Amino acid sequence: MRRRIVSTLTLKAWRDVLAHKGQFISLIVLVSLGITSYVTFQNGYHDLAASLEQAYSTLRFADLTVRVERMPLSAARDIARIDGVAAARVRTVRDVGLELENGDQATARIVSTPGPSADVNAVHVEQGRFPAHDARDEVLLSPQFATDTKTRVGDRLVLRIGGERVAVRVVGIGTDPEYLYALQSEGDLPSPGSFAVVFVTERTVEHLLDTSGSGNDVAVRVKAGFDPARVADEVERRVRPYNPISTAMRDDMPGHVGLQSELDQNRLMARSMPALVLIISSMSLFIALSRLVQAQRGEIGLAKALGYGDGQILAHYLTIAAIVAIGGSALGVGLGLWGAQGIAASYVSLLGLPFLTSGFYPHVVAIAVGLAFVSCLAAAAVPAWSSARLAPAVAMHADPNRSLAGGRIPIAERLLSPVLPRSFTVRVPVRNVFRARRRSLYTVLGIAFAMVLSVTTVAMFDSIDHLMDKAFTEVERWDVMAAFSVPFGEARVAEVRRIAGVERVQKAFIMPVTLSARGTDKDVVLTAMAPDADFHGFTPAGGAAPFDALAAGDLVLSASTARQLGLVPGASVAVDSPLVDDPVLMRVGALSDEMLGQPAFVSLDAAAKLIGSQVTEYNALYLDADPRRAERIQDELYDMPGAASVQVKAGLVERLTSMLELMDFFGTVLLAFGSALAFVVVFTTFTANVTERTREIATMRTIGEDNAHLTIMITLENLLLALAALPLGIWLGVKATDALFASFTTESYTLKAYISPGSILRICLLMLLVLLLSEIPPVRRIFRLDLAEATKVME
Amino acid sequence: MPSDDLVVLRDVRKVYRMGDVEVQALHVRELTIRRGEFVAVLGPSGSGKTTLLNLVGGIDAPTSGQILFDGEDISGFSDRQLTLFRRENVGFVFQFFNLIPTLTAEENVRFAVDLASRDGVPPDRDPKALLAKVGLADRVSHFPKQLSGGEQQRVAVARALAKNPKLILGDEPTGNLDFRTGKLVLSALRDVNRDEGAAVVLVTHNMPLAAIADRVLHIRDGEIASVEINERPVAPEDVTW
Ligand SMILES: Nc1ncnc2c1ncn2[C@@H]1O[C@H](COP(=O)(O)OP(=O)(O)OP(=O)(O)O)[C@@H](O)[C@H]1O
Ligand SMILES: [Mg+2]
Repeated sequence: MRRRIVSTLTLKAWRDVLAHKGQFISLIVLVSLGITSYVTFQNGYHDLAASLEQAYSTLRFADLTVRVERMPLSAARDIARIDGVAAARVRTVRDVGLELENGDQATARIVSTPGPSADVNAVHVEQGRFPAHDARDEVLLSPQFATDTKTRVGDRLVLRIGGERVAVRVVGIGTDPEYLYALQSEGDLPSPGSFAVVFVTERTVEHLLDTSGSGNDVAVRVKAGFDPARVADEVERRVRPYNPISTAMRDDMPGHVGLQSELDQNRLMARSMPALVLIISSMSLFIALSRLVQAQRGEIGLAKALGYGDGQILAHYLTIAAIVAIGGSALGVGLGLWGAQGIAASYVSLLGLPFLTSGFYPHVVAIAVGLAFVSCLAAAAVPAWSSARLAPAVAMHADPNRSLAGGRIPIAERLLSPVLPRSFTVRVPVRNVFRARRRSLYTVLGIAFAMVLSVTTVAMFDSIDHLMDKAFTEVERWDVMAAFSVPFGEARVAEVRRIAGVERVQKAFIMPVTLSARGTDKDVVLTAMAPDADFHGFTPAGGAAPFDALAAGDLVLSASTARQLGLVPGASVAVDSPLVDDPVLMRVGALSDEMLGQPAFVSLDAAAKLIGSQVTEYNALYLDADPRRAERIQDELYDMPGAASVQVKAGLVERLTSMLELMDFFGTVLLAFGSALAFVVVFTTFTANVTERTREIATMRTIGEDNAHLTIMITLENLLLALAALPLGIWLGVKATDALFASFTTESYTLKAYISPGSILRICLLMLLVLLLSEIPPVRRIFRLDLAEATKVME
Repeated sequence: MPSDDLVVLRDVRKVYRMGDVEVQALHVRELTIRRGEFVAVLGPSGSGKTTLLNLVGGIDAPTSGQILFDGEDISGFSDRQLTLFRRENVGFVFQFFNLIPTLTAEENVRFAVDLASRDGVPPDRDPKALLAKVGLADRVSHFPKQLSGGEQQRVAVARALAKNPKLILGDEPTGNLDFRTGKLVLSALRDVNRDEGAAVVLVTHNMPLAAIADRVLHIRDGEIASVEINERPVAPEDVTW
């Protein structure tokens, strides 16, 4: 008997699913969206990591390199015999000049290599071929530079070596594992147009650089199971006769570090993005299933009256939830695996990896299916349990929607009433909004959740744009900045002022210092400048006005530094400068909210104490300049003795922007998810709204209301609810963005969620469009309603 | 001078098709409902009573045959025409009341007044007066769920009156009510029929109720089996069952 009851309920579960096909399909799609995003991003990440690993192993990436003054090529054999070394190769690595078509000069890094067959750092040829071993002017060029400068196979490059111009021919495009991600030095932003890697044979390098059987670098691959650091020690010992200069483990190689940081970012995204999608889809699922169960309260009461137990009823709804979970995870895993291929392929090509490995990762699928089940079962269990516990009579009479506060007309509605048109076409929707409160709440929450993902995506971009915009217009108020490793005096300042295009020169002395207060130390970069210098914009965050503080000889600290050291304006802090023996006590005069890094500022006069003498020399210049001449000015500055780095703000902005391309890519994918999610959630909500009221709407139609007016009423009601939902959705989205940022904010930059008014407008319009589109299917249902049927059934 | 016939059915059939099986729910060779007439429809469950009402009220279309309302054939009407037809001519009272849950009693009635006035018919009906007529003067601002079943049904009657219809259709309006409340609803219908001249077609399972009608149709297996004319209709207050 018991078994029979259970199977009847299982049958009912299937019937329910079939009877509400549209609803269930959208629930399944909802679940699948979360699962799809999880599988897509996770699988994409694993594919990317595997692709990188494959490139490293196929191209036999060195575990370490040691730079020396000069060593014979034959010394490699000796090093290869070290315990733990799989292979070693002596090569030449040298930076030379490279003439660009516009007359500027780029850096070319010449790297000698036997080519694709090398047993350490083999090259991968993408296009053309590797230089012939007997040729003397053939080179293989790195793809990033080739793409950026539109250099093709067959083109000539002019190198500047020791004052001479030497022409070489590009016979192929490709790279080795060390330069997959072509960075000149660590911490650089990629600047594909100004850094080329030129791979040449030993014969060619001998011709170009006169190396005669020697090299200046040894690349070593370590056997599996050996500790590269220990091997490195031994290699260093063996190369001592050749005057070693530096050793680089993989973690010191700029390209590897760059790729790792891309991979790390990707992993972060692959975790936080699906988490967001999953949270939103679970919330929406929860609401949708709650409504479904609510709507079936009558049936639940009936089932209980017939003698079904609470557990059986719970099992019934869990069965339905399991059906949704199975459907959702099947669809989600399928779509996710398909999407992951796309993501991995685009990412691999964006990063310029030579291989694409796509794998199947059972643990990703297992976690995805687990997540689908947990979220579905949890979403169903709560409302099902609370309904099952109702007394049968209460359940049978319980009304899902008529939760009118004590049967009184809500005050808000009464206040609104006098200004509304008399027409019921306007009044009924307004009344529904205030009176069918549960439905209104579900709808508002539904629409708001539906927006969160899109809002978050847009807000992420807006926030970064906003940060960049503020950083480069309000904070960094200069056009060209030059840092010198050798300090200079006023003569140099005057010289710079004379460069054509330079409008104004501000000087500064920048030094690393250690701040200490209450036993806490903090290393910061201290800029000494004239109190009225304005190349850096402050965002006052306490204390005196920053410029007054500087004029008074006090420090201006970034608010986050002050927080870390427990300092308030007026407090004293010990400043330890490398230029004087004892720390100097200084007063904190003002705080500033800094977005990038944790800079500190002081006046040139006050800095005397930290330098040990009156400041008459400087090591940094901030120029206002004609932007069209910025590049020229940069070249002239670089030609000055001791110039360490010269930055053109416009170029910096451009490079940062191009780095954001990867973000754009994620953003596009996320927006697609966001829109799909919004549509499904709003559609589910509206369909439930209409389904729940089938009888009411059928009655209206029966007594003579026409489709047009009904459509207006429903649209008006939805728009009114949207009016409440849009601000809530935007607020939730911005909060979610903040939470997301909190997960990847570091000391070096502080991101605050920001969304521009334009984006808000666009999102609202987009949502209204989604709203109107999602309304179509339920409204069509109304048009097709069988009045005879709908008015006779009991609810 | 309009004819005395309000509704005329000629050879009307309603066939439901479910897969290969056809069910003939109703076949009426000839039926006329006159203005101001009170007709009761009696018959066992599944005999076709509701089907008849749905066809006459324009919420369902016949498979074949003609339905003339005020001389106009509504059987070929489009959805839009049927909507206007119902709005202007027919008042419905359902077995399950079907009030709009988010509107108060008065607003439920006003909704119908509003509808009727949309096409230029003067909204001369005061919802409060209509509710008073069915004995609910002191319940105007109650929501349906705050009303008893009988009260809800009387609001439904008031709503049906709102447009001053030529025809009121009631499908077992007392089916869910107790004896005393049922009689109140019937009185309300009878009064409307008397005072406003609206024809009433009342479907019921209850033989004794038919005593209040001018004419009683007996339906069996989708066909009108017999017609009985009541020379002396009983006042609803005097019916017993
Ligand atoms: N939508 C439908 N599809 C198929 N058959 C239908 C449909 N609606 C009604 N029927 C059939 O038509 C016949 C007449 O139905 P109708 O609803 O008119 O009966 P009724 O006299 O009102 O019965 P009751 O007194 O039980 O309300 C029945 O046999 C019924 O099964
Ligand atoms: Mg019936």
